Amino acid sequence: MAKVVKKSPQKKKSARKAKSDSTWQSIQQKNGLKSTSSASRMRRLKRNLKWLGAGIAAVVALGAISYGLYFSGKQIPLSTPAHAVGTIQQVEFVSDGVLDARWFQDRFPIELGVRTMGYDLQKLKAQIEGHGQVKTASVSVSLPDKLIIRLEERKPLLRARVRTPGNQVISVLIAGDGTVFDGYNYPAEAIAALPGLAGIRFQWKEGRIEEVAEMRQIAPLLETARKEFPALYGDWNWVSVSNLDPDPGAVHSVIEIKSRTSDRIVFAPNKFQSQLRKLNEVVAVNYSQRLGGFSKIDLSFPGQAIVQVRKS
Amino acid sequence: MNASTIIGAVEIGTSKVVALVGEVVDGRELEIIGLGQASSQGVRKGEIFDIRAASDCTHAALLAAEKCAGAEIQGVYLAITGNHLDGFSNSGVVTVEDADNWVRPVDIERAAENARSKALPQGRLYIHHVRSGYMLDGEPCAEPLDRQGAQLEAHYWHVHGNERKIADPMHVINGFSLTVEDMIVSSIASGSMVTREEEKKAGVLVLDIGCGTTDYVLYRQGRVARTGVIAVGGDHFTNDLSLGLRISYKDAESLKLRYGKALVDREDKGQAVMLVGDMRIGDRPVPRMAINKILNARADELFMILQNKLGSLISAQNLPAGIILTGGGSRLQDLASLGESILKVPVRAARNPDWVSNEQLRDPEFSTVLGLMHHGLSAKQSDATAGAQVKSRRWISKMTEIFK
Repeated sequence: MAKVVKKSPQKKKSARKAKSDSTWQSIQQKNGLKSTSSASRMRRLKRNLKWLGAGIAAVVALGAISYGLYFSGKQIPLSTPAHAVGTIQQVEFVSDGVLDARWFQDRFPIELGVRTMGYDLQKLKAQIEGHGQVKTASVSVSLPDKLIIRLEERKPLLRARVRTPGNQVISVLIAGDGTVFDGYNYPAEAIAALPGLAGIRFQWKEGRIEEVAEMRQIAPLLETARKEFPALYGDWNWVSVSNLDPDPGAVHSVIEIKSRTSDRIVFAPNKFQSQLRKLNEVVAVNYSQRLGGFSKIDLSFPGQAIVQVRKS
Repeated sequence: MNASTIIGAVEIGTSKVVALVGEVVDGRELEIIGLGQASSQGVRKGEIFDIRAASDCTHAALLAAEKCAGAEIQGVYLAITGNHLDGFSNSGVVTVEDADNWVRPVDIERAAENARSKALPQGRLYIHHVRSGYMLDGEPCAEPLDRQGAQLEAHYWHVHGNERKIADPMHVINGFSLTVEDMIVSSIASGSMVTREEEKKAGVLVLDIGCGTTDYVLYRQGRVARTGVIAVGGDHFTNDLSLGLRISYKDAESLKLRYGKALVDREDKGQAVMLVGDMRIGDRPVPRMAINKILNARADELFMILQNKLGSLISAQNLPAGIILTGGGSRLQDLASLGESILKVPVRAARNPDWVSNEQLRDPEFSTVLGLMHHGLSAKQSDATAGAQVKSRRWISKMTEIFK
């Protein structure tokens, strides 16, 4: 309610007192008179509570304003120099594969001094994950000034030579999920040890090679062989999917592999563990009996290995 | 932003206490925003005899009014009545100071001081000094300022009362943590509500018949010429009925309100009304003639006392606008007719002004509190005007200093 400036009765009283002391205004009004009724006491209590409430509210509001001013002053400086807290000054790069900080800096140059809180982390993550060798990327900010990039890389299982739309022949790597990528920073011997992929026509789309769908069927074979039978896997030269049917129930569907000891190893597209165990036994016999290798080992019949020894 | 003040008007009457809450906006507009009432206790003939009981009922009415208004009162305008109030006329005479006999404000102020300076007996205090007119060289004069004359006479009607009986209602208000801004005699408060300016100029008498007392105010030439209190009120009518008919006070009050008339008609002869009307045990017929004779006798006495007090002032020449009856007691049927037949001047029942939008407040028993409110508004208007004049003077003096 608006404040009203008015003459107090005391002022009026003193003014009139000069004229005459014998007016009713000469009676002293005792505003602090002891309450003489319950209604008066209730009113006084309500008024006191109202003042108390207003006092508490004022103190709380003052405290909140002080708190806000104190912390806003600490966390959000009004002007920030380039080297000061709040801008990107460090970049931490961590990968579980062969990619390194140089690769990152070459492809995604980070401008230092950019405001940490204003950096578009999602955009950078999408750009990194657009690279085929990167499976997942995690981009985060560690306040006050550090940008952290953590990568999970794809592991190549096969390699291939591909003709580009520009009629150039390039080498590419193929991961277990079918992704085809250039392969950066791998040691040459590691690439050389990978089996090649045959029996497939690579498809180009928007300047990139499309995923190899057959890899979903042959990757379990390659992964199991690499982990459990590395000697066998290291002996393989190439893997052909020319007779692999996309239908997993097709009886004629097979995976064919050429190795140094065997011209043609035939796998059924399932139950790889037992087929590899049988192959391992066959290869062991080859070495123990010095058979000189095989022209064909057919493991596609359950529980059997049909072996054709190479003619000397 | 509009500046507003919350003011209260309190009438501690013999039968009930009425508290009104009003909001004065910008010192110009008054809006009545709350009403509280409580049965009166500890009050007899308008005077407090038990301050604790009177505080209880007054504070209850104030609390109810504040609750109704949803606002806290900042200052109270209090009505005062009672047989202790008295008045007298006194004049202040001065010789005009100006060499050419032009009356200046200082002459008027000196005349007023002289008129007010009369000492009162011990234990008496002034309540009002009401200016009733000027005489310049023995001739009546409405406004003497800037007129020529040798001798100026200011006539005042002074109202005074017993110091203790004035202090009691003030202390009741103080007990509610409120200050009395101004104290107004009930008759002046109610008179300001029920009379028009032209009636005041012509001459009119307002009779405020309350429960314990009857207050009157006489206006002549637009100003208060006389005030007074008669220790007869509606209570006496009821008491007479109770004693005369040997019935309870409550039944007597009920009979008075339902069937009471101040005039005795021939038609009343042989007629009877039921005492209670609900045919309960003890209910019995009461002759209508008996009721009206009792009421007529008391009303007759009231008007006779009034005539004795005012004498020749009650005449058709002095009161062209007649007599206006207000207050709860004025509701008695045929009271105006009886008054006319006794006093030989026109008598009519009062009605509160049309700006009072609340229908309940238009009843005559609220004239006094409404008058208090009106007085409060006038006081705030004066304060606002005085404040504006002070500001204006400050501005002019600042400008003068600049050009010095």
